[in-house]
Amino acid sequence: MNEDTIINVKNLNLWYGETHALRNISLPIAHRKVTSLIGPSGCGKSTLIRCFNRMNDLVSGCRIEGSITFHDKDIYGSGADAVDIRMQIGMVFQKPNPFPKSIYENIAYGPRIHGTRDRKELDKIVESSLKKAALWEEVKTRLNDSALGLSGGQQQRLCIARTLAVNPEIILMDEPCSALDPIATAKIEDLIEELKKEYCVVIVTHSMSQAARVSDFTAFMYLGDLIEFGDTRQIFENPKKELTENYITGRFG
Amino acid sequence: MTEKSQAELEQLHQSVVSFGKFALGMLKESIDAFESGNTEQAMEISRLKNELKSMFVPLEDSLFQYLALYQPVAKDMRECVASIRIIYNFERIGRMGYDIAETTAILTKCCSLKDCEALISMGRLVITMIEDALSAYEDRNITKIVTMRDRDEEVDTLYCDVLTGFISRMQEEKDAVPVLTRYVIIDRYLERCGDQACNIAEMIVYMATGDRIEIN
Ligand SMILES: Nc1ncnc2c1ncn2[C@@H]1O[C@H](COP(=O)(O)OP(=O)(O)O)[C@@H](O)[C@H]1O
Ligand SMILES: [Mg+2]
Repeated sequence: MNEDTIINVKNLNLWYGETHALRNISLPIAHRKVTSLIGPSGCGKSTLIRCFNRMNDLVSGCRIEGSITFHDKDIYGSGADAVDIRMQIGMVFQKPNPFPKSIYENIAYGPRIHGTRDRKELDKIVESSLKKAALWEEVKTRLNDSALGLSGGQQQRLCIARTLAVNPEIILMDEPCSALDPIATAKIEDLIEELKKEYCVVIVTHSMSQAARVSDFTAFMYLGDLIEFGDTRQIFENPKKELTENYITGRFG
Repeated sequence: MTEKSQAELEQLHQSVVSFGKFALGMLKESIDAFESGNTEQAMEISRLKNELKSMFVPLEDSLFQYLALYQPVAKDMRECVASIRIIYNFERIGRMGYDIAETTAILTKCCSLKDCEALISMGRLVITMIEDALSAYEDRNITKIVTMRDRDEEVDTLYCDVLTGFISRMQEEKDAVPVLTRYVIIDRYLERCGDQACNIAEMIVYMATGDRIEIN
């Protein structure tokens, strides 16, 4: 762990009832970098990323051991508030899930429930969030239209904008492009490149080439274990573990 | 990686081996022709130059296309890029075989060959280096190339000794200067072939282990 580490996972174990879904995972997540989680379906990528903003609290029968610190404070510690944490550590899902409301309301919703009422202030937040999510130019003339009328790629960028509106430091993305075409995917990837100047991004992806393109660090998981974690260039040029090699070169099964 | 892409990469590997054998064959025969002073054999090798080129270009293309189509990573990527470099090295070796053959043809036509044992034994040494590099590539096993640096140093020393010998002979036997000048050129070609064997070895180490080493 060094000074750029924003999240530090230490000996993390997670069970869903009897299922031991994460096995003694330790890994640092660097600030203002992109970290990708890769591995075959069911290896625990979503489970791990959901631990980072305590989404697993909502799952009954889920039990966690070990620690995850965010700026050196245990996010599962007694003083930690899950709602605060989810504001500072936002999440974007596989399937774009805008509210069935206007584009404007989708963005204004979060700041409003966190206490921003001033219309001018909200306007500013909506504009800057949409700009940061590279969507402003496409929607600025129709902010009051329903978000459901946007294309899939636009909806996904709207969901990213919605996350940005409450000023997070970390953006978690769970397969954010798997429902998108290559052009919409490229836009999200360009956006990730922009976002990492200001934010920490953690992305789960089942596209190895996407992990290679967008991330600085890559973690390869298999059956709940973290097999290898390292510089993305090293992982894709010369992985240290044979299991990683077999997975990224497609010799699995 | 699908079975199809795996099979294609294996096929490319075999084609690189065949190409390497062809290029090495040109060098070997050029040294034989030089040793025996056989004009006909030397001219035969000269004619292989076009064939060398016509094998090289499509093979290089196939490797480029493999990168474009399958975007290999890790050891597959290393094998692909190492192969691209290695066929270039072999092409140079084949062309030096051609150059030696051309020089030999001129020598056998115009003047008598004499006292060139040192050159021939140097040629044999270089050939074993290239043979071992080729077999290391074929087996993806670096055992045969671990001593490559020492062998290349030996070749470099021989190159200098042979060169010095020729220069002093030139001062004593003015009539032999046209022949000896061509010997010097062949001496140089062979030294360069040793360097190519080292380049190939460097790439095989990268291919097999991911490490970048420098041999010469
Ligand atoms: N809510 C849940 N309840 C019980 N088991 C779950 C739950 N979510 C995930 N799992 C199990 O945990 C393991 C890891 O799942 P997941 O984190 O979704 O994997 P991935 O995202 O890598 O595909 C799987 O065996 C899965 O069946
Ligand atoms: Mg998942």
